[in-house]
Amino acid sequence: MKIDFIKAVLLIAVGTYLIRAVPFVLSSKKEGGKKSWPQINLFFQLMGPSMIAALLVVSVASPLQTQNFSHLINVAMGFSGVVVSHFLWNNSGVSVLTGVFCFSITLLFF
Amino acid sequence: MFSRKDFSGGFKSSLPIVAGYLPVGFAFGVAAEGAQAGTFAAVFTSLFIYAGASQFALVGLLKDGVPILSAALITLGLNLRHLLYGPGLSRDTEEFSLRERLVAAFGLTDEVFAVAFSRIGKMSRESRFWWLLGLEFGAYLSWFGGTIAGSISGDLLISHYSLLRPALSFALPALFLSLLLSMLNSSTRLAVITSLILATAFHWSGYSETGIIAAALIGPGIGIIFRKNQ
Repeated sequence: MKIDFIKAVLLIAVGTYLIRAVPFVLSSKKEGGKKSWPQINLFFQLMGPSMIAALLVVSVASPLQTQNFSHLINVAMGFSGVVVSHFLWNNSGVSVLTGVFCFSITLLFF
Repeated sequence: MFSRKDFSGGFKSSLPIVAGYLPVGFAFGVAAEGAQAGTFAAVFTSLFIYAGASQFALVGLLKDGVPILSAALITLGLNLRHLLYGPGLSRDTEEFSLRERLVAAFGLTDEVFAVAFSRIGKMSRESRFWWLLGLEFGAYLSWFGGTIAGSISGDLLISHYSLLRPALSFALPALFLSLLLSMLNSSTRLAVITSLILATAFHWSGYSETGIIAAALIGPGIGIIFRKNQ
C-alpha cells in the first residue's frame, strides 16, 4: 500500500509539473502567448469548481448514508462554521479549522 | 546570475500568500492525519505534488477506497486549470531561458500566478526571474511548513485524545466546501450546481468515481452553453 501510494504521488507530481511546465515553455515560442482559445480557457476555469463540487458530495455523502440523524446535525453545524468563517475572513485554512471546531463541539452534544 | 535583492523582494511579496498557505497547509496535515494517511504521506505529498486542492482530493479519494490509479487521474484532472498559467505569464517572461522556465514552472500555483500576474510586469526585465523564484520559494516553504506542523499536531492530538479522530475526519468536506465558496461566482454557479446534482445522483447509485468525471466534463459544458445563450 505504501509503495503504491508513493507511486501515485510521484505520478501526480510529474503530471502536475508537466501541466505547469509544458504550456509555459511552449508559449515562449508563440509570440508571448498572445493567441488564446476563450472556450477552452473557460472550460478549464469551470472544471476546477465542478470537480471540487463533486468531491464535496463524495466526501460528505458516505458518512450521511451510513450514520444516523445526529451525524446530519454535526455535519450541518460544521458546514455552518465553514460558511460563516468564509464570509468573515475569506481564508480557506481558517474556514477548515473553524468547521472542524464547530463539528467537534456538536459531537459532544449529539 | 543570482540576485539576492530580487529574490528577497519576491520572498517579501509572498507574505500575503504565506498568510493563506500556512493555515491551509496546516489543515491539510491535520486532514491527512484524520484520514489515517500518516505524517510521512502528508509531508511526502506536499513536498512533491504541491497543489492544494488536489492533495486534499487524493487523501479523500484514497480514504474512500477509490483505486490508486483512478484517484491519481482524478487528482490530475483537478490540476488541468494550471495549463493556463504559463501562457498567462509568458508575455512578461519572454526573456526567460528554457532552464529558467523549467525551474519556475514548479511553483506556479493559483495564488503565485495571481500575485505574479499582477506584479511581474512592473519589474525590470533582469529582475523578473529571481523575483518570481523568491515569490515561489516563500509560498512553497509556508505550504510545506504548514503541512509538517499540521500533521505533527494532528498526530499528537489524536494520540492523546482519540475522540478527536471523527472530528478531524470532517476536515476534508470542510476544505472542499471552503474552496468551493471561494470559487463561486455568477460565471461558475451553473456549472457547480450541475456538478453537485450529477455527483449526488452517481454517488447514490454507487458510481462515485464516474460521477466525479461526469461532473468534471458535463458541469463546465453546461456552464459554457448557458453563457453562449445569454
